[in-house]
Amino acid sequence: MTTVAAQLGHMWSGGSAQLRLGMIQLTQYRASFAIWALSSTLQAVVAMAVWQAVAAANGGTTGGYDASGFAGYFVIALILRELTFTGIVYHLPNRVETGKFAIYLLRPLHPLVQTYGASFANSVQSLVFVIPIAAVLTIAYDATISPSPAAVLATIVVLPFAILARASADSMVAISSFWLVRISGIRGIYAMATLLLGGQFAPLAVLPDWLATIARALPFYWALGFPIELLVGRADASEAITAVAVLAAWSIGLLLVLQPAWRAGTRAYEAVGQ
Amino acid sequence: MRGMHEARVVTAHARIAASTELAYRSNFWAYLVNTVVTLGVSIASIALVYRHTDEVGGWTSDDLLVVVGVFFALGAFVNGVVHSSMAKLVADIRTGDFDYRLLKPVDAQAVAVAQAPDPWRALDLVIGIVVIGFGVSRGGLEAAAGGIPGAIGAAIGMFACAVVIVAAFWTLLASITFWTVQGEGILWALDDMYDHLRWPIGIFPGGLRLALSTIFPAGLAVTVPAEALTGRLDATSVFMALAMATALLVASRVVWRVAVRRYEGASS
Repeated sequence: MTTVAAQLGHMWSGGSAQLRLGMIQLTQYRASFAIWALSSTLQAVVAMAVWQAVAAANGGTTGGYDASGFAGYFVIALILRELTFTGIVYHLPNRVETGKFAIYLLRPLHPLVQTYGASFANSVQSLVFVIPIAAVLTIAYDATISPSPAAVLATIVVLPFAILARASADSMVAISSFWLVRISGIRGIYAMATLLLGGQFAPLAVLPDWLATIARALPFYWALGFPIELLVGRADASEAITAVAVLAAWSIGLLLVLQPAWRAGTRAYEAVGQ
Repeated sequence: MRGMHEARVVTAHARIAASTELAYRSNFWAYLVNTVVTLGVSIASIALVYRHTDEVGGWTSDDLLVVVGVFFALGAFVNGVVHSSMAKLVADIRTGDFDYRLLKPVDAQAVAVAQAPDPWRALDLVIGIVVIGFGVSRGGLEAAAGGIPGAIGAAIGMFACAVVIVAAFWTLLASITFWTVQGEGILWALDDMYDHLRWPIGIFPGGLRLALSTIFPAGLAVTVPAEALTGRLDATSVFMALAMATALLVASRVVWRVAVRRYEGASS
């Protein structure tokens, strides 16, 4: 037990060092950072505008959301997506493809922890841009955001599980590059799942029933769509128990597969490049 | 003829870069899978939206297919010519290799925009044209002024404007690299922004529509050719497209000149 604790402590201090390093590196590139934040904003605002247009064509509401309702949904989506996003599906395969991953293997800290430290720095920094943008959008589009105290509490409980589930799923997708080198196809399908089933492009209420059923069985909806619905006052706080159960089950399952897959993958990895 | 000389040099650069990339045959499959998935997401999004209504802001689902087709066809230029060439420019600025570019007796900006095309992206152009054809044949073009030949002519003209808009806008932002040295991130972020523009800007509220016509004019660029192909191109759109193409061309030229004058070289 003590060795596990020591190992976790080592990972924690290493990861947080990576986080500090990431923060310092990122402040150097503020211009490209602002553009990334704008891109996330554009995605959320376009989805909002599309659904508002659909609601307008439908006589005011679609799936129980009116224009302000959709605005609230996508403003919260913007913030929570930034918080749960990890760039690992891009960064790890990129390093594998160029051969730079070999350097990460040499360092005395698990490469995934190194990547997560940097990725979390990324999330925190982009929130610096995204939160003021979200505030402006809330006013400009008269967004309805009215969570009950219980819903806020439930969101705080669910979010760490959401981040863990997303990180494990992202890792599984990313490490497939050890065998395949180029994973843009798999990554595309995965991005499609987070967009359409995770609630990033559309709330669960506008999906056809069969698709909503599939979405509820997978982690994507519980990791993003559900906490959004909690904060806009659509989901019931008591459902947080289901959310935590689904997310924890998927995380444990994925982490159990991840361990041997990582070992086999790093063995299969042939440092191409320099 | 100075323009001819420029065109020959750019073509030569493009041919060398293209044949280098074509040596990596397996990349074709990676691109194909990627394109099919992207198309799948677009069609699924349209299907999801049109479950609830027949028209969004006056656009039918067939019209939306035309927009997606234009998104792919223009994307072939954005990703396959402009991004890949700009990536080389950005790398050259960082390493100092841009010094040698300036020494050559040819316009450096003309070469920078088209020096390294990625031939696999021609796939997006083909898919784009097929999707446009499918959408147009289902939607019908009879309503367009000047009939079908008129609509196709107008669409080609608007598409040319769209190419100029994206090429000039991307160059303008890549020129920032002359000051910041690090520019790859900006290029990837721009690609990511372009990726969200699969809807006609006409269905958006006024502020967003204006922003996607001026601050990030790629929205206008994707929309105007689709308007021409669905018989809804009006004088305002034509004027906006021509004005933005001209303004961006001039602005990118001016900024480029200032930037090159400021460039100090970083080679050893």
